[in-house]
Amino acid sequence: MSALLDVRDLSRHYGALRAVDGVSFELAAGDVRALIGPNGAGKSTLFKMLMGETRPNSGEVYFGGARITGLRPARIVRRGIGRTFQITGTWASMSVAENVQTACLAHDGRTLSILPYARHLHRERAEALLDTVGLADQADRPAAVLAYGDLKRLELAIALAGEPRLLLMDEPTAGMAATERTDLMETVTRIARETGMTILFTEHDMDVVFAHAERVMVLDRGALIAEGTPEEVRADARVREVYLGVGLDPEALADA
Amino acid sequence: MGPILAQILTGLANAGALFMVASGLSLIFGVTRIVNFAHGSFYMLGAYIGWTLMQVLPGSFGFWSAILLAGIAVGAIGAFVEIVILRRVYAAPELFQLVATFGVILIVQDLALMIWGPQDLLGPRAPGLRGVVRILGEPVPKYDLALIAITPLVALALWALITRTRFGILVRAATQDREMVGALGVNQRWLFTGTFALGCALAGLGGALQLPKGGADLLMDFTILTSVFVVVVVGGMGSLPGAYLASVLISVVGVFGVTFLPQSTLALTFVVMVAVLMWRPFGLLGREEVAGEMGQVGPPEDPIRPAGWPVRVGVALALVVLAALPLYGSGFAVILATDILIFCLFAASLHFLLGQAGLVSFGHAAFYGGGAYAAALLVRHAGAPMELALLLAPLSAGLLALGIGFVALRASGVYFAMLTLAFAQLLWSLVWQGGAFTGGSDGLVGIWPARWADPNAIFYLLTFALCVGGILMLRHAAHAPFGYALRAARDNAPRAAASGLDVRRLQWAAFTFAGAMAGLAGGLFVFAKGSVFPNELEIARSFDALIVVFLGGVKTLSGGWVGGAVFEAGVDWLTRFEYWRLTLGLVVLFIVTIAPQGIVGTARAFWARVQR
Amino acid sequence: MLRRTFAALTVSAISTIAAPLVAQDGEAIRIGEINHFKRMAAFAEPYRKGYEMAVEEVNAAGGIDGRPIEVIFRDDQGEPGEAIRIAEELMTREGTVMITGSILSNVGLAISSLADRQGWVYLASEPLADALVWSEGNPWTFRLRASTYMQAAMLAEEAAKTDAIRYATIAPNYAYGNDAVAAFKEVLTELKPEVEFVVEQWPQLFQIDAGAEVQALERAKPDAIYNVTFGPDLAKFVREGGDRGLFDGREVFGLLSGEPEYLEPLGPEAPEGWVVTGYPWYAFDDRPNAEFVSAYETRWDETPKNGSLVGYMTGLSVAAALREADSLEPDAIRAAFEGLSVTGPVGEVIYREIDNQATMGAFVGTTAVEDGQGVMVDWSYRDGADYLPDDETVSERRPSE
Repeated sequence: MSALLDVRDLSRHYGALRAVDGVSFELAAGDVRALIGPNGAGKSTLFKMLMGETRPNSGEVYFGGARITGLRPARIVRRGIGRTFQITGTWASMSVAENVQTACLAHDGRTLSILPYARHLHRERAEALLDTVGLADQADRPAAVLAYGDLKRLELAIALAGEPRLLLMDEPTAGMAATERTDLMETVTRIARETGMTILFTEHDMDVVFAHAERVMVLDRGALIAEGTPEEVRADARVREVYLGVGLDPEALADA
Repeated sequence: MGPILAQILTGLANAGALFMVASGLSLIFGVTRIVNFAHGSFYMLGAYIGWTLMQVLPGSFGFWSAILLAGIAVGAIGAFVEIVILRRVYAAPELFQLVATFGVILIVQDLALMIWGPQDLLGPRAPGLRGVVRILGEPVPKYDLALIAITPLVALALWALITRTRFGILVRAATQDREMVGALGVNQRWLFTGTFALGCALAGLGGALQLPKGGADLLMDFTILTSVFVVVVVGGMGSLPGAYLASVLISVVGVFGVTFLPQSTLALTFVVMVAVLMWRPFGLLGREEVAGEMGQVGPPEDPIRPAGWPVRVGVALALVVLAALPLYGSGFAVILATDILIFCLFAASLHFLLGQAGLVSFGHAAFYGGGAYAAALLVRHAGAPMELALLLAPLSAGLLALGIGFVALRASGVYFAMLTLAFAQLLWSLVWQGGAFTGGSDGLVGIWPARWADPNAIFYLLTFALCVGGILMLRHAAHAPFGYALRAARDNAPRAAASGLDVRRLQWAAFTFAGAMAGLAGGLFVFAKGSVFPNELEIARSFDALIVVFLGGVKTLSGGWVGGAVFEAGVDWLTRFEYWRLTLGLVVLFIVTIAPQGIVGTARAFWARVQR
Repeated sequence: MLRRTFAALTVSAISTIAAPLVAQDGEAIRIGEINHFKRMAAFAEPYRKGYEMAVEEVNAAGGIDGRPIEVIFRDDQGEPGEAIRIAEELMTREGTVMITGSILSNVGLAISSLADRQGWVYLASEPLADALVWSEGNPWTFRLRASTYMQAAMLAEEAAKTDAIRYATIAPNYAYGNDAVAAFKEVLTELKPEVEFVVEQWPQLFQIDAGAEVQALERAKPDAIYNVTFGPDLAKFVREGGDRGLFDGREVFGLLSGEPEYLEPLGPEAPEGWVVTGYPWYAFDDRPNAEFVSAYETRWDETPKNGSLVGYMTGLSVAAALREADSLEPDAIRAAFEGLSVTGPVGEVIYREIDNQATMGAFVGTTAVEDGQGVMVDWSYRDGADYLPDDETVSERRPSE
């Protein structure tokens, strides 16, 4: 069976800056993989290219065997890729349930309809998804008043509403308390196991990475420098050098 | 060679006053994010004050100090306006401040009339600069040469101020990142006051400097405003070099347009503007706008709910009472109510665009007037019956919006707003110069309702059905998947796109929908008045709708029509008084300062407090 | 049907309220005046003063069969849509018997269309558009002031007497400008077929780029220039043209340029030697004109403008029509206006039956500067009746009748 996601020699340059430089990798269905690297390594740019938000200068992306490079985000989402944002993306003027309902409507492609009351559509599905992420009791609160950790959960529910086959998560636990982090990641990996969803996430917290990722990729200055199981990556000399040398999160690596 | 050079010099001289006014507007926008509609009024004040000072101060020294003093005086007036009015509304939704500036326009108009009288004032000549010098055999007025020299000097002084002083560094920082300035612990209030005063002083300087080329009159506030908007947008909002480049470009193109395409004077600048923005969506030297949440700054609105049964019954009863107006109201009440209903639908359509899609249009009159003209032209040239004309008016306006939206939505934020303004002006100039087909400025007259709808009471009922139906439809759309998708795109566009929403297509659909609804209002207007004139496409009409939406409250579902009803009825009543513009301006400022969330928003907040 | 009933109801209601308030002589006859008092204050204010003065005189002389005239002045912001609504209110709620007013042609046309539909009398006092009595003319609309065509024809007649062959025109880019140029060309070409029009300039109203316009005119090397610009545009045009020598050695014909509204603001910089239409209030020695000027100066403590004369004539016309009419019904007033003769400062004016245009003329003269002020010299009054096309042409141009 061919890979679900096949990234070939993907590059994005901003002038002389090589934000992403010739990155290639594959993801198989059901993989839970972390993408780590110091700030400015190109993780966010890579995500943006996978989603079609930024066009690559060169290289190609295949998803489910079909080329998706150059498609608009909305089209790529239809193919089955979803994402969450580093800066949590929710819709502040709606209730929690409506956030998820709207995502369901978007998934349906019914968004130009002006006839039905939207709040009656997909209510049950939204409640089920909120239950999955542990927000069922807050369904009717305005999204604007949620605590930060709950917003992260809500965004996860929004992303899941699109029934993605591949979910890209940009720092899913940033800014959360330690226990919350574990909770959230366990929820995510559980869903991945149950539904066969593939996950690619970036993360600064090495505890989270080593506890939840099956495999880890390391990006530095736009290039992939290592890939392997958590143990392999932890033992990799270049990775240690990057982290210790650059000075970002060295203690995290040491602690792990 | 001589004539060409002379024309370029004329263009450069014209660019002088334009640059000063435009750079002021640009500065103010860059730092405070206020789109200062009243900027033309400060320009006018500069001219009048300068004129008065020149009557008192003698000689060459007196002349030039009068210009300088006029700038300083207008700057002081600007500071006063900023401290007394605008300061109170910075926390309000973005662009709400333009309502306040609209109030200032009205007040300045009446005050200028009271102080300086109705007659045009001829600008005094600059001592020693009367007459011409010959350059390559062509006569060039000496004062033109003075202007050509002064303008770069002012620009340089401004540049030095911006790059070499602490104030300037703050101004630049604020233009690029407002939060950062707040974080630096700078006293933002005085920075804003200083910038606003400086911008106004520049406008006043421009007004005084152009005196020897013309004079002061009561219409100059509005006549310069469009050109200034064009310059600021073409140059790039917030960019001073851009403003200089654009004012030279627009002026020189204008001069050659006068010679080679004399009929083009109306449309040319707007064609240039659309062309530049198509090529560079953020103007010649502008940067991409970061603040994307037009009209939506501040705490998010509460999730909307369809009205409960008690409210619905109440509304239904109120509608029945309103529909029965011809049974108990006077003949004039019926006519006034017809006008108000039409205006409410127009306002509600813009409100939908602004509130749901977060798109601020400065040119919504294009669709109102477009629908009106579509209906009138169908009747006049195709002999269409009223029913068909009323059906095709929204369709034509919708098609128009489809076309304009396709281009305008390439830009966003203020640039989008300005593009819609440019298109509305283009349409206006097309109609204005449409000769016998559109009737030009003499419009199309004698277009009355079909025989069955001719009695005012019947036409009122028809208007009632269509306008209330339209408003309810707009309102329902907010509760429908379309409305939710639009708010998703507005609240967080990247999140919406990552959920599979095609943000641009949604906005395009909303723009078209709102345009069609405005077109319906326009169609009704034609038959209510029996005539249509280019006034219905004017900027003033677009502004009316915009003001009303903000007055009513953007972050509410009823703001559009409530604002429309209050405004239209208020104006009808106020124009009975001598100084109605002054009064209306004060009323607008009063509402703006005590109710920055708009009438509906503030009423709701008040009600919530009462309930608690 | 329904509407008429309501109209009747409101009228009677207002009458009963108003009755005790008015003078012992009888209930006032109300006239509705709609104008752009704010937007065009410089023109509307003198007009209003002239109008009020006429009404005061009429009332002092006993009014209309003992009933005084009362004029209700309303501001329409220069918006046709507002003007329509105000007209409806005046006629249905305020109990006015007819409508007067407007300066802007589009507002005049809008009111005229309403008047035709409702069967109300409208006296368009100041708007100049030819369409008002011709292409869009209707039986209910009358116009007082000499139209664009008439005034242009007066200047064309003067132009034909000169040697100029190559003409340039400059006119604001809207219906009035277009009409004024078309009429001038029509009449001048008829009188002197060899003339040619070498360039037409169309600056945007009140946004003239005077320097560029002057350069464009100069480039065409015309023998004569026909100017239609007015207000601030005229001031800028005169200044740039004077500085750059555009007018040197050329005949210039200026439509309305001699009206005090436009000439006075120019002060000592008023152009010299232009042939213009206007109102030389400072130079009258004939009795009726001079008497009006001194009465006006006494009443208002300011000198009259052209609008003052038009306003005064409006008041006199309304009074004459009301006297002539055998009732206050619109149809009776309309019938009274047909062929109505009014005698005012400029002599007799007749509202022509053929097109409802009054024969009020205009003064034509040459501009000069005296005592630091622009004036008209060598002027004469031209009777409007002499500057209208023949009846056959008029009928062709007025399809409604």
